[in-house]
Amino acid sequence: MSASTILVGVLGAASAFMFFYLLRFKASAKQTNRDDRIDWYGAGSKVHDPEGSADQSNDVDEPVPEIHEPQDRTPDRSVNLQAIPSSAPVQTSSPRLNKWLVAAGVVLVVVVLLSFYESTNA
Amino acid sequence: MSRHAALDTFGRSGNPLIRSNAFDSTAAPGDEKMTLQGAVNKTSMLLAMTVLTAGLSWNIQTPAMGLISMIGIGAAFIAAIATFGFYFFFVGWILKPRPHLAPKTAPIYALGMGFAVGLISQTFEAQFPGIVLQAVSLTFFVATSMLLAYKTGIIKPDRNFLLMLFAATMGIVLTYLANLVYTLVTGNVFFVLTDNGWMGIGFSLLVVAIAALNLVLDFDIIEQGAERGAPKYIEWFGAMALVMTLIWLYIEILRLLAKLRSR
Repeated sequence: MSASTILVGVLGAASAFMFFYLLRFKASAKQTNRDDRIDWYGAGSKVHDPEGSADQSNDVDEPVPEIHEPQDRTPDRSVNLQAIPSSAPVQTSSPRLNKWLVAAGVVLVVVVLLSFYESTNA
Repeated sequence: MSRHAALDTFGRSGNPLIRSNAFDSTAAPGDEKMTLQGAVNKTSMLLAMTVLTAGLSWNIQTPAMGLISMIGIGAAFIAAIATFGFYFFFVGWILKPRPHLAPKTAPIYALGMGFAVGLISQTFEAQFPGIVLQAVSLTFFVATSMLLAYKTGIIKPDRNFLLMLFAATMGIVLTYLANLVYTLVTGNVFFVLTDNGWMGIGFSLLVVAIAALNLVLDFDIIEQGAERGAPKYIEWFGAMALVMTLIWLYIEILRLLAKLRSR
């Protein structure tokens, strides 16, 4: 084992130790007491916007019977599409559509992985 | 309404796998709240899991292990999508984010991605002996430097920082997606991704820089979550995001070193 390998290894180990050691400390006041800080959780977030949450509760929580009527599906989808640009957790499509898309995604992933597996073992 | 339409559309993180929906709730008065120490512990556990399966896929070279690795990688992708959701342009959220799943999906992700990391590392190590040790060391060195810069306030993430980073990250994601399509159609890869000239090295340096800057956002999310009493599961969520960015950074550093060594 060369000296440079040992040096690189020691540098890596020291960096890893420092990383986990520093991670548990709070950031300095210079970092936390700023006006222009990104508001991940607070009231400034659109997620917590009263109007947005009102819209969200209408879309998600209320089981409006008209939504499931076949003749109303197209208008309903357009309403949902308008809500997509919001960062609120809006259901963008019906649960049935989501399940099918998820299932299709899973099948696609499996097929791609198996094809890669086959090609690497050919 | 935000001043930036992109922030409203895509959420508030530059990390492709973090969406603002994740932070839609705060801990109820009786619930356990997240702590910095908890996030550190979870990050350590997830990295240990990644190293464990990386070691397995590196050392055991059998067809059965190959199949297990592929299943693991697939499970990791599914776990990531289940937790962070899946957004498609012009369609919206096909699958909305479910951060409360993170305590279950984060270990699946870490174990599954470990197989991928092991296979990739083994391939590079066979070509360039010693490169993995260098890449691991550099990854932690870069991560520690970014953490130090964040904790001391040298780098201060604000909305403009977030917006620029988001745009750059999406640019890289789209480049890789376009390359995937191009490879499937023509059997070749984009010149800039494999070129060991200045253009290819410059591109790799740019990607490494963007991956490193994404770490700052992960630190900020964890820090702010602990400050504001986010629910306990955000520890897993933050740790998963951090591990995800670290794995990305490691792979990009590996590619950069390979380009430099092949000159």
